[in-house]
Amino acid sequence: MVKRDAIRGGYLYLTVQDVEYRVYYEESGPENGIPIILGHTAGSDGRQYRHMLCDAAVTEDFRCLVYDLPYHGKSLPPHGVQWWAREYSMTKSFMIDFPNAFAAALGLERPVYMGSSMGGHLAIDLALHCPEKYRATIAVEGALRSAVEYVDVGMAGIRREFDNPNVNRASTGAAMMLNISPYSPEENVREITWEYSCGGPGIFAGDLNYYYYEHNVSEDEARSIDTSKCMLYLLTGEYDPNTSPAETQRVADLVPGCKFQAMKELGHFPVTEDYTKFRTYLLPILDEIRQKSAAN
Amino acid sequence: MAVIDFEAFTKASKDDPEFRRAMRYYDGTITLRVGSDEMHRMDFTNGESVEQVAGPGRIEIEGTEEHWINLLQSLPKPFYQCLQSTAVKHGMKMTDTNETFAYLPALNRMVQIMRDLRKAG
Repeated sequence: MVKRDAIRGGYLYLTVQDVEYRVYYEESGPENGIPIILGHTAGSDGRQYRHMLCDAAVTEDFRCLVYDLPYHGKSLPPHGVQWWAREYSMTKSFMIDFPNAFAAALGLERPVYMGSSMGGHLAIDLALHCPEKYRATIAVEGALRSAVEYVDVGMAGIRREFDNPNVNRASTGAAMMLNISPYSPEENVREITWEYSCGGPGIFAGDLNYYYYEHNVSEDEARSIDTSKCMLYLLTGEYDPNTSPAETQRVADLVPGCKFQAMKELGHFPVTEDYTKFRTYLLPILDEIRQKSAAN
Repeated sequence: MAVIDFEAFTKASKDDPEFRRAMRYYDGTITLRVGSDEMHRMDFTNGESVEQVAGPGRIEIEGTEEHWINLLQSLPKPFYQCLQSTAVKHGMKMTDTNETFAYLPALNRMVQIMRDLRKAG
């Protein structure tokens, strides 16, 4: 008997902002399950969600779909664009347009969106800008803005560290140690550093343009998020220096009706760092979404 | 009493395959400062530990005794989990030379070896 993961992979073609992308995505769970789109962190890819996609407690009722953003993982850079002649930079509008196009292409009816790190920031942006498209969003390590100590480095400093011809990709993987809880099992820690060592040149640094700069939610915008249209859940690890629980608490204090839990002994990559711990925070949220979906 | 048992670290690092591999090709120094009284320096030529080197590489890490003691705990408090988070969140100082970025895998391993030594007593 061959041992297999219950994950199916495939490619679809999406046109976003007038460019066609061949997009790799994976999914698990029943086709008629509640769709939940999963967004990965900056400079990494959908492999981060492999444990969740194999969690029967999730996939019994939820259809989990995780994409690799263009230039990440198995989603190659597009044809028809001279991407090699320009500096890659992720924008807020692309981050928002991409899951919207993905959901529309697959005919997903008001999916849940959950993302981590820059994907977590996006959960807040989606709840703010397109609540009619999502029944709920879950921000894992989300905030109004990333921690000021990192924002102050500036894109030039970020590119010098993470897009520097003198420095190989192993360093980007090693730099992720700053985000990881010391309680995380070493195998998982090494998997995160491996994934970060695999990224395309300049992609992690370019993603940080959205993560540190274009994602910048004002207090008034946060107050305007309507959780009766799109419920916003917030989960943040106590060892995340980029988005600490204190930073997520600011969102929780401003968004009426949202729900926030700080996660003990977890860091910036809880989904991968220690999924067994993370799911104890996730499953009650999914249960609430399941009950609300059944009632509607 | 020194915060870093540098002699034990030097011995352990020479037998550590991950640290040795992560240091490959390095020509330069790693200098560690603990407060104003404790300083350690390692010299490398082509990635091998040597008595004295004239190579141009320069990696320097400087922290208070409190920084180092918190950093070297087996299960450190939030944001003491590595050198970089200790620098950004707690004020430890690190050079931002290309070598510092390039040899971050080795520096992380160095911290882990020091933690293991400290735990072993």
